[in-house]
Amino acid sequence: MIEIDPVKCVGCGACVRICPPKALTIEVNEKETILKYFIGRCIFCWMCVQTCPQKAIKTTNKFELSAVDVHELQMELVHNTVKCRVCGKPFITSKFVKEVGRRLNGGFKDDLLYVCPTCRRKLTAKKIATKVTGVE
Amino acid sequence: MESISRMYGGMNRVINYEACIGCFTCEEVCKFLHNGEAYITLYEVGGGLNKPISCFHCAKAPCVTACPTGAMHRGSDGAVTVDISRCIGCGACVAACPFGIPTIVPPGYASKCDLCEPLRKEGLNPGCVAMCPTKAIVWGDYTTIAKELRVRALKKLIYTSAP
Repeated sequence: MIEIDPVKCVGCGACVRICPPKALTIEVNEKETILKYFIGRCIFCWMCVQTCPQKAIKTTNKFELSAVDVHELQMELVHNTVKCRVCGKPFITSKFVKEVGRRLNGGFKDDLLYVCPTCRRKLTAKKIATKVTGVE
Repeated sequence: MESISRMYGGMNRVINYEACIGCFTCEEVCKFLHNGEAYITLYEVGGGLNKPISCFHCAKAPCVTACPTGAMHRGSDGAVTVDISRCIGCGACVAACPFGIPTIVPPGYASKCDLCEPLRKEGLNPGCVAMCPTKAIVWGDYTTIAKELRVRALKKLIYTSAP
């Protein structure tokens, strides 16, 4: 089975997209982003380990995983979800926003990191249009 | 201007909002060229007017900086493109782009405007540039764009100030 480091994981969802048997799933709701790992489905291919950009997933030697209750085979990792400051739609985890901000090293305004992509496009179109025409 | 030009292969695209009439031609052409997915989209800017937004192919692109695998890179002619064999679909470029341009498409990689790479290889202009009815989308190296926009600004000055 795999072990996910809750400190290193940012909840980007790259492992979820690569996982062949869909043992890893992600659920985004208003408050939380939950990364679920169901061992019953895992085929131990280590695709997620290779993919993880944060190196948060580790391999372990455990593979005999008999359990009395099926829920014991399910692991969950909970992240905070960030809501768009303009439209209020949940779109990304707060840790991932901070990680991207760190990579960019203050490349652009922090406020913009908390705005969803669709709203960013609308804001840009409006900004250029007002600059060009001079009318709001 | 020339130093930037030399650094990045020199080609870029500029959308002239003054000339744009918001006719959705670029969006439709892009959809046609990319199997129903438009990389240049129009948004309402107020007063019932729609203006297009697409990748600016920034010289210091935040998506390239944020990409953990180097899938987002500067390709031929200075266009910022995605190498889909390297992309892991983490969405860092989506979060990093100040204009919200890249999107994650199934089965799980980033996708964005590549200035119509197949067309450019054949020596043609990108689809949106070729089809724009008012020639609002200018494409070329930095000096050509600057010259073209200066000429337009001058023309506008002359025609609007004349009685």
